[in-house]
Amino acid sequence: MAKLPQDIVADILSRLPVKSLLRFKCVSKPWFSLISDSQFAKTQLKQAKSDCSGNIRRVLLTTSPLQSIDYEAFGFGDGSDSNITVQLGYPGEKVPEDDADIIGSCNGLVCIDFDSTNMVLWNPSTRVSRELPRPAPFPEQGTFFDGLGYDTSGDDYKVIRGFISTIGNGNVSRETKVQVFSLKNNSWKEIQYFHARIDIYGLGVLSNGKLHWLGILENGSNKNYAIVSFDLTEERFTEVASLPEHIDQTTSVVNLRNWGDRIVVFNDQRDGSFEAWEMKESSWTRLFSISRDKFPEYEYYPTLIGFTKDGKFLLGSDGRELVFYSTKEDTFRYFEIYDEWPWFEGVIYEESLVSPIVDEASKFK
Amino acid sequence: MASSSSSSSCSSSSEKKITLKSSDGEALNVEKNVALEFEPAKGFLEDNSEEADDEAIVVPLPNVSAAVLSELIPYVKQRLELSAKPVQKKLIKAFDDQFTRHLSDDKLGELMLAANYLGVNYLLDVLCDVTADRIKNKSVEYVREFLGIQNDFTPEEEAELRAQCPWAFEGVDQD
Repeated sequence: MAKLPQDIVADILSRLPVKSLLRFKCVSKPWFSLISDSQFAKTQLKQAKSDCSGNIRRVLLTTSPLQSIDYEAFGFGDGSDSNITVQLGYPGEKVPEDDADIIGSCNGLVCIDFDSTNMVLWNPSTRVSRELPRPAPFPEQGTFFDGLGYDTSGDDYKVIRGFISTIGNGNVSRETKVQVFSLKNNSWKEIQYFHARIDIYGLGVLSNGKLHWLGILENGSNKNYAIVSFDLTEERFTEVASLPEHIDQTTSVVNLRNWGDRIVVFNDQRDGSFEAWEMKESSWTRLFSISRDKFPEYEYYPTLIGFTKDGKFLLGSDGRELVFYSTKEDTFRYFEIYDEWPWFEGVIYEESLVSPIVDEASKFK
Repeated sequence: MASSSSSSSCSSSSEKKITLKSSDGEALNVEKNVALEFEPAKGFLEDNSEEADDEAIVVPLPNVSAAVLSELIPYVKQRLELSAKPVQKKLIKAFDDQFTRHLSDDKLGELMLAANYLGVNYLLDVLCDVTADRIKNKSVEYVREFLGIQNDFTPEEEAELRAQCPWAFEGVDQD
């Protein structure tokens, strides 16, 4: 083929999947520099997200060893799923003892806290990782909330770790502590929490560039669920919505997920059904309701991990199995997971070249 | 495929013909609306707009051969007709697939250079996709050969790079 100018070569390469690009770093020094460039990583990710025929989403499971599954390729009984699992080992040199906590997932980076002592920002697609400094210690008794997000204007990745004390209630104001890590500055700083009566918890989910958490709003003697968002540039919290009325704290176990930019709430009604609701401009639409009888094997309750492109739901069952649920056909399919630990969490990530290390490209320049 | 626009056409520009002169000196007659899809021709026509008779205008395209132009012109013409109608993206995609499916690797390269020079971005977009598809699952050696790229790593440097991500070299197609 005739020699192509560099900008067309870059355009062609931006359409390739991550695995091909890692291989093609060996083609030549100019290719190595291009593929290692952080601007190229952004272009490639944007291109991959806009290509609806491709598939860049995988699920990372905090099993031992860690594994990644191409869940879109998981068939409904056609036997095509033999090659969808990749064993990832562990980021860096350290083998964790017994625990991996997911802190967040954004643009191909995943933040995991191993054994509550080793916090790592990791790209499972390139397997490049970076150990983060530890945040200042939190008090003992309380609930935590975490998240990883991208500050577009500062071009910076931020990790959020927050704590709300469970000691003290009613008129006594509780102790809160929020710390934000900036990848660019490689340091943590403390910011103010925003509300005395909303307790947020769990994993923050990204929608339209903001992190969202589920919170419990204390209103006199009532406790209702609320959704709180966090602006990664301004570093400010805002209360954005309440949940559908019948989901209240006395009857439900709830978790929050995103589906692209859509926010979905998954709740176990304890009266025998599971539901998923989608937030659309502050109002709610029910996606499905499944009777608990359909999960005879369950000891506890399922959690929602994500969604396939064609609208199937990916659930985690008791931290031991993955379950695919198709609302259209009302069918389930179980996927047994090998794990040396008793329980796993799952998080969706996108395949990308985005690096947790700020300057990687200079090597062969 | 024959054009069926004669009865419904009310645009006079589509009737007018312009002459394009290729790098190898051939003159090709095209509808003005097709010529306007080519950036250098568009610029040339704007600069020479005082010329009363379009038929007399000859636009030089010194970077594109007659062989490539005669592939490009019917493509652009039909693509214009398709995008003028409220057709589904699927139809355009099928048309693009049909156009690109049988292109040799060499022709693919020539068309990319021409589409780039002529500023036909929708074609360049499609051709980049096709090229990406053709190299996606291939080996490093195949890609160097395919795109005519010189390996400037020492064997030691290349071995070191390969050792950094051995998994990326698994499951590669035969060259």
